[in-house]
Amino acid sequence: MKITKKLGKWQQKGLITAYQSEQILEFELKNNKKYIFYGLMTLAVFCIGLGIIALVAANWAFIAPSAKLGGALSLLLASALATFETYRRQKNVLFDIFLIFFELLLLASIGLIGQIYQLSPDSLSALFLWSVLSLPLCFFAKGYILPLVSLPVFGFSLLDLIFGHEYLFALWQKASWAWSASMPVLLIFGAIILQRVLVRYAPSGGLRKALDFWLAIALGALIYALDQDYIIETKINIFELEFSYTATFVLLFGIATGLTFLSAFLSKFWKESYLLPSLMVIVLIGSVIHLPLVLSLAALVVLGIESGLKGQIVWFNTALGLAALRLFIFYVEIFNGLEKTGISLLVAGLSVLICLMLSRLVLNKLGRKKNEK
Amino acid sequence: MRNKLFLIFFLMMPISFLTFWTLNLQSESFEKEVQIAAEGFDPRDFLSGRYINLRLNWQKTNCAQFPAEICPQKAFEKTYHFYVPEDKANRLEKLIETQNPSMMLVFGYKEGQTPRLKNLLINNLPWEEALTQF
Repeated sequence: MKITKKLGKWQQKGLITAYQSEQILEFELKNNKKYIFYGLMTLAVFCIGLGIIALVAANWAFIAPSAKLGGALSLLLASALATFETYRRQKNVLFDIFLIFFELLLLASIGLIGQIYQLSPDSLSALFLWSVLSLPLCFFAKGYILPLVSLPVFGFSLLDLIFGHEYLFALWQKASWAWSASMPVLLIFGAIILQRVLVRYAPSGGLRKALDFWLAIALGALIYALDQDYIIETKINIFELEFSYTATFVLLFGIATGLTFLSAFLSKFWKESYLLPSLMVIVLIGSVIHLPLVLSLAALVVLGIESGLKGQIVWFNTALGLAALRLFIFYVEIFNGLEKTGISLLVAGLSVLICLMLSRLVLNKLGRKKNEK
Repeated sequence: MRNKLFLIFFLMMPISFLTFWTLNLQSESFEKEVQIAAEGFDPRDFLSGRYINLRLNWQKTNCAQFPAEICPQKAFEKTYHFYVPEDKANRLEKLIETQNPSMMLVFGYKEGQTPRLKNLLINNLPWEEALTQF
């Protein structure tokens, strides 16, 4: 654990005594457990939010549209009030939890309106609307689960909107290899500039940390997202040499990653950066997507808890973010119908919440009994 | 204090937007309803649920419903999603696949305004009624 090494160094230098070192370590271990508790609570709330979206999408006809709308807007208002109240009282972790719940309810409400009024725009347009409405709130997020999901949603839906535009699409088709070859590099450098701006102006670190994460895996996600057959069969001609799409992306990814690493290494923010662990989990994302849900979630939760207990908060956050991503993919797969998916997610999220509350109650009681003795 | 005000603004912005959007959709008024022939298939939208994806068929549409008996094709999209409850979606899908019925989409229409999809008719019956007879 990093703190143990630091405490050892400080003790050696005579800055703190052995007793003080012990006290600090005990305090940090308690904090780590709190971190894990609230981190898992965030994941549970995310799960519940996805479950609500799935149930709304199932379109229960026996509930009148006006009741559905009234209920959704009331719940949205209530969660907004709870979010603001936790912010005002500086309850940072609860604030993050309520913020995630608010954002997911917002997404569910947009879907609900589209459903009731038979609006035809596709999912990416609705997701673009959601990300535009929710992105400003990401500046306030202390944790990075919410910005971790919002940023790529905004990016992909914006690209879809741009390339759905006839004029821009025609332009892209004329300069096909130039656009597709330069797009990942442009994305990377645009994100680096945004990250530097956020360092100066963002009131909290959640969005900046999430941007760090996505800087590193942007190209990896593009490669996974693109159609494999298209990648394999398409060739690009650059200066009379033929390259496959995959080779081009891998080459550009390598160059961009190298440049990003160099910039981060030279930057004074290197130690706060998530670039190294983010790069290391690129392959993990691929394997997580293809592993069955229970196995991948179990692996991520175990990794998260273990790293949380050791105080490796970066790995803990990464594991939690990946677990949230895996849950989202489960939702998108719509296992056995929207209603069943929604109920499964709701039950899973509520079960985790109840277990966390019960374990906290038991641990508090045990702690009190130990103090009494 | 400034951050709190910003937070209130950014929390209320989406709620206000959704409220005004809903009121706007609810208060839309149309001169009349028109029926346009449609054909299609049934994919899935993970955000809004199950829908029938329908293409408009202007060849089979009665243009006498429109002013000057000219079908205003440019005012309409080429395809529309018609959302249905998940528990009825499978039966509706089977009905369309097995019987190949005539389908008409009912729109609220007013010249100069975006048409609003209102209902789906199957063999000239509202889809829910057609489903009970299947």
